[in-house]
Amino acid sequence: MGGMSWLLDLNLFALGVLACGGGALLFALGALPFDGPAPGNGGNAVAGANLGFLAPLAGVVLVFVTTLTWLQYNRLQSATQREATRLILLAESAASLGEPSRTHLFEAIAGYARAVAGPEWEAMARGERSEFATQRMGGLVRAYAAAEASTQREWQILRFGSSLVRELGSDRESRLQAAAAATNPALLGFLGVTVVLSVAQALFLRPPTLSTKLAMGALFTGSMMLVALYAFVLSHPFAGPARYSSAPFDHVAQRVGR
Amino acid sequence: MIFETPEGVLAWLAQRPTWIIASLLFGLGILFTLGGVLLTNAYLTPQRLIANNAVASFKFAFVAEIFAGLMAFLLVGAGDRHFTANSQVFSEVAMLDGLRVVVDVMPEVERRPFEQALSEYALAVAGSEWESMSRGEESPFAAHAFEAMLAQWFALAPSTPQENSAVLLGNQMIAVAAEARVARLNNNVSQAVASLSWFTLLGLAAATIAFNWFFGTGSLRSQLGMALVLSVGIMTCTVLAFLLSFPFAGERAIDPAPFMALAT
Repeated sequence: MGGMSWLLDLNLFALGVLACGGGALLFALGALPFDGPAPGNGGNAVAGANLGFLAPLAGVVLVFVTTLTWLQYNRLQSATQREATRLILLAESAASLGEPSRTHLFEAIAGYARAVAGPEWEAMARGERSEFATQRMGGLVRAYAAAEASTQREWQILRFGSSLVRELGSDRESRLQAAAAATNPALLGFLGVTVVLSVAQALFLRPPTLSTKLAMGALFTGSMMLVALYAFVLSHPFAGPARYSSAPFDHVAQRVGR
Repeated sequence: MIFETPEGVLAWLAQRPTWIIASLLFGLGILFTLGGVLLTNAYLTPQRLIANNAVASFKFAFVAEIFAGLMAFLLVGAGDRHFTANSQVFSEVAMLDGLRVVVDVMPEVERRPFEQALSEYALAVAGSEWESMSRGEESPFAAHAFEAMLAQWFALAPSTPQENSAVLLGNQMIAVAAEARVARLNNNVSQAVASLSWFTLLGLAAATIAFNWFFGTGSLRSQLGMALVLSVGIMTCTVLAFLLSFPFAGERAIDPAPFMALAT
């Protein structure tokens, strides 16, 4: 799917026009040289029956893929926001600690937030994780392990912070897993095969005139392409119209850095 | 301007009264259906259209199944979001209310700044954030008030065993309140994804309706009648999905009263 990434620079309307128009054009290219069996000899009834069999199958595949991409997109969004919220809680609680613990923790929190918003965000777009962010996560864990409490309240805050750091590790894994799943091209390939098979079957139907065949073919292909476009855009959470921003982590880095 | 982007149009429409949303969607759907039928009947003879019925019906049935599948997916998602959003609001308020009870063991001079910050956060959510959420956004003002409330909470300095226990419990409650806030904001789907979903659904609805233009019956009146029933059916589901998709917008919005009560 890497070769199609330029598509994601287009806006939603242009993408829709391109997907539906391109689909209609491909149908026309297939329909013009191949006219199907002549009407009246049973060709339409057979092609129609086959299309009737493919319809529920294609419906199930399209809904399965769109639901899965939607769920993965939402998982990524909620894991990211949960993680950023825990970082805000860590930062606000660390602000009440004495020196030098406060400065060390602030540096560790800001360092991790910057590593996620920078190198890890780029790595996630490829479905990978950043080694630099992993090191920064280790730095955050070490900073909490080494922090010292001089009062009862500071001890409570460190205890609270330690439980947040533990959950942060689990949130990070959820985010990385969701990113890897959302950018998996296998689902889109499966969807593409379903669209091609359905359109190929529709080519065998032969209405009385070529103009109605082309008009209905454009509608048929266009509607399939719309659903494929929906899944394509949602399966690219780091580019295009449904791009998910690293702003929650930038915000944490700025908040702690100020 | 709101009409410059699809997101702006959706946000504008979501804030209108239900009767305007329904009238607009039904009106456009019916106009599109009947206009298309009249157009094809003006350009093609009934005999040519009737000869087309078999092929058109096979393709129509196929596209209709895809449309029904996508509609089911969006309806279930929108319904779930709408009903979950309400319980998330109450969870967040319950935790914040619990914090107010917990902090009551502290001396007034200690707890006053936190109580003040909590009220300001509740007011910011009920006012500015509710308005932002109707457009699918988070309010920077409420986010800032939330961080200020957290800062006041962590600035508390318990000095007795009872105060220590209260603050330990409060730490857990503030973490749950933060999660509930994130869930509430997450539930309110981002505008880009909402417009993508509606772009796809309306495109499929248009394609499903347009297949009717290629049918012929010999009687234009009965064809118009059938097309009318079809478009009303499609638009009924579309209007329902639209109304459920925006839990914080328009006259059907979830009430911010629990946050208002917390602020007073």
